[in-house]
Amino acid sequence: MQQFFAILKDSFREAVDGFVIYVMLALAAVLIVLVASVSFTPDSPDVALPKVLPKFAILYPDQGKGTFPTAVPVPLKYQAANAQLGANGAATFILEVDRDKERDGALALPLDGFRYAVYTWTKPSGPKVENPFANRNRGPNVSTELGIVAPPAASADDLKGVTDEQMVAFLKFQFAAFVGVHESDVTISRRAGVAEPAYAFDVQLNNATTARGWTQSVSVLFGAVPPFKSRPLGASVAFIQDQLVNGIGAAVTLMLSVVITAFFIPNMLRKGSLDLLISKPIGRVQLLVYKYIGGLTFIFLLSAFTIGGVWAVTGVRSGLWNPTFLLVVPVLTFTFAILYAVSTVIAVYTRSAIAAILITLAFMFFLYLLGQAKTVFDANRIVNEFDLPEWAYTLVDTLNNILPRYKDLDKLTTSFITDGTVPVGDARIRGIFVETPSWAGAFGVSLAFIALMLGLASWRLVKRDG
Amino acid sequence: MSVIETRDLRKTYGRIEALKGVSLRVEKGQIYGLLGQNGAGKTTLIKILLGIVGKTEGEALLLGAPAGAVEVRRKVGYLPEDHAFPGYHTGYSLMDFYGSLYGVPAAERAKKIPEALELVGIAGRMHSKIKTYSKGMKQRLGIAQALMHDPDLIILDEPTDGVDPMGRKEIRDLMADLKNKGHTIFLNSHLLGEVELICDRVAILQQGKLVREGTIDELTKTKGTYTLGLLAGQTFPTDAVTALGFPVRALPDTAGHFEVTLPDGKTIEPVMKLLSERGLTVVHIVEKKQSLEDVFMTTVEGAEPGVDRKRRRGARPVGGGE
Ligand SMILES: Nc1ncnc2c1ncn2[C@@H]1O[C@H](COP(=O)(O)OP(=O)(O)OP(=O)(O)O)[C@@H](O)[C@H]1O
Ligand SMILES: [Mg+2]
Repeated sequence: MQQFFAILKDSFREAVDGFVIYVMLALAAVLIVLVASVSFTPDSPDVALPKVLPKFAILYPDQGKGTFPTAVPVPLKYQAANAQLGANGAATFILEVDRDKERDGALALPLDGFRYAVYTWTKPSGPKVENPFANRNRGPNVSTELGIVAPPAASADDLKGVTDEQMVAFLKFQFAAFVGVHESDVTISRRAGVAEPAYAFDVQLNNATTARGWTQSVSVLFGAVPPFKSRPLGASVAFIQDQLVNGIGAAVTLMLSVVITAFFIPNMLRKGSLDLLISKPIGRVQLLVYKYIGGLTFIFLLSAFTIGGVWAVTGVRSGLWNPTFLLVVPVLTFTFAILYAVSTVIAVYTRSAIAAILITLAFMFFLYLLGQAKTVFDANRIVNEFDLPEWAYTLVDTLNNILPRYKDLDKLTTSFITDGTVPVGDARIRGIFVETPSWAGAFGVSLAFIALMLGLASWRLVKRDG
Repeated sequence: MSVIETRDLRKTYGRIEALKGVSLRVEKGQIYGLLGQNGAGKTTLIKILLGIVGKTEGEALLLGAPAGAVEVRRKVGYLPEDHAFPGYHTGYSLMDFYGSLYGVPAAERAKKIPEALELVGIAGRMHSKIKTYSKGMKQRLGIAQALMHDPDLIILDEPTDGVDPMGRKEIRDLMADLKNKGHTIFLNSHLLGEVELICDRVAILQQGKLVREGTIDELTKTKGTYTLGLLAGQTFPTDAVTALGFPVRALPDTAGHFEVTLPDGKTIEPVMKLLSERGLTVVHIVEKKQSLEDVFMTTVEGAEPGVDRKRRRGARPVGGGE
């Protein structure tokens, strides 16, 4: 343990000796300040409600417990009238529901669309819908089903049986799922005197303007740039945390870290340096592994600083404290562990930092391309948009099976950032289009790859004279 | 138990035979010097002992354990030749790093590091980055790191390389001091005068073979040679002395001085008698004692030529390094 910490400390010294680390810290600080400069101002209900209410057409069956929505959203118009903003961001309004005259004429629908929607919501999920375009011949693991379920059949009596309580429960769920308020913050009662199939409800949403699905206008540079966009708060935070930090920021961090850490091992192996170390009571494999972990600690600390900083400032500025964002720190470190294992092998065999940098970056780029190709190919299996030869699928699948799942790690972080920021109704929709890879697959194959690389490097180091 | 023991140790690097069966033994409390020309295999021997390179054949034991065993290295300090310390460390932080690798507890390191650096005379600069050190300072740091964890055995590969004369004296005193405290020191050096001053035993390695081994006294023991000089103008009776059975040689460097070697069991007496009988006046008489350098020169001359002369014999050139 003492030796382990001694080597970590040594790697740390080596890292802070160069100037690149300060460039990285400065970049991280700039990023944090930039994110801190984003101001969020909640929109009035008149602006916010028309943006969220159309989503009520999406129905999750089984009282909202069904993850997949029904295939045919019922065309209804949800509108707010007499909207008022009270204390603590409470919104009160009359919710009017009526047939969507422009759309429902074309479809053969039961007469009362709203009752049908509530009925669908209360019933268990139907079977998944088969994809009529699916190309069944390619890829045994590819499901030919779509991420939507068939709606239930309903008789006129079934619809008549829908109660006011069920309507209220349904609407509470919709507000929770798409505005992101707690169901306990929603008060709804049906208004009398409206002729069916139109309905009206008195609604009060407490803490509505700070909810994830409520739109807020965004301005940057501490208000110097006037508000230019109005989006749901959760979507804005997801953009900052996923696209900006986990996307661009992480890519830059990975590349710069590859550069800095590529020098650690060649420097250690330099003539005159290695003898000093291996004459100490420490085994060579141990030395190499400790040194490797030293490199990882470096990016762990750096990303903890950056991610922690961005997390704190987005929390303070937006009021949305998303803990899942912090998971980016270990995942990014793990992603770097893959790259650094490659760097280590190259360093041990060539003893050249330049070779280690170039080959590692090329490998990173290759994994990125492979991930993109895999995504496109898998999508094409379902929609069959263009014709690809059989061997192309085999090649991409095989490479994906044996190489680290670089893209999967990215998809995983994106999916948990989304879950932590946008309302559950929106997150489920995203889940239909972007498949969440398995943790076991993403980490297992990558771990095996890292072990193989370190094994090769250790073998070489143990074999060599001095 | 010997501190170092090798038996018929062999090492080949590809086609280069660096060690061709070396057997030696170093006992506790000795200062042992290993001499030899460039490329003789001195560094190779040390590296095998420390497990830095693997042996090809034979046996090497360090403090009773097979050479290369990790744990035994805890009790060994090592100064490599051509060392390159990481420049991002200060003298102090480097010692702290190495001390941790040796398992020296933090409190002890805090006490011992300044002491060790003081011993080698660089305590004043211990918080400067190593990249600002002079060659000699780095060498002194190298010595300090080899002894701060109080090792039983200290292996020094050319310890005074790059150190100024005053510093060399300090280092010699330091070694004598360590020896008195019971440490064993094994060193490689080209500075024969120094080796003669401090070593108890020396071994001479010639092209991977041990050609001489013994205490300094044993090796430098005079064979009974006298230098004689007569009063100016007198002629030395070379033929008459030779006829007595004493080989004579005129010393080319000092005119009028002659070297007389005594045959076994004889004294200089008969020669003195002959000179006085002839009315010659001896104004200079010195019994010659060989220096280690003489021993070394005659040894390596008598043996195979050193690597640097291989070329002359038409053999392929031997480069250093890898
Ligand atoms: N890593 C290596 N690869 C190949 N040959 C080597 C290696 N190290 C040493 N040699 C060769 O082994 C022989 C002995 O080298 P070694 O370094 O032991 O000599 P030395 O006695 O220490 O010389 P010097 O006085 O110059 O330090 C030389 O011929 C050298 O070229
Ligand atoms: Mg040497």
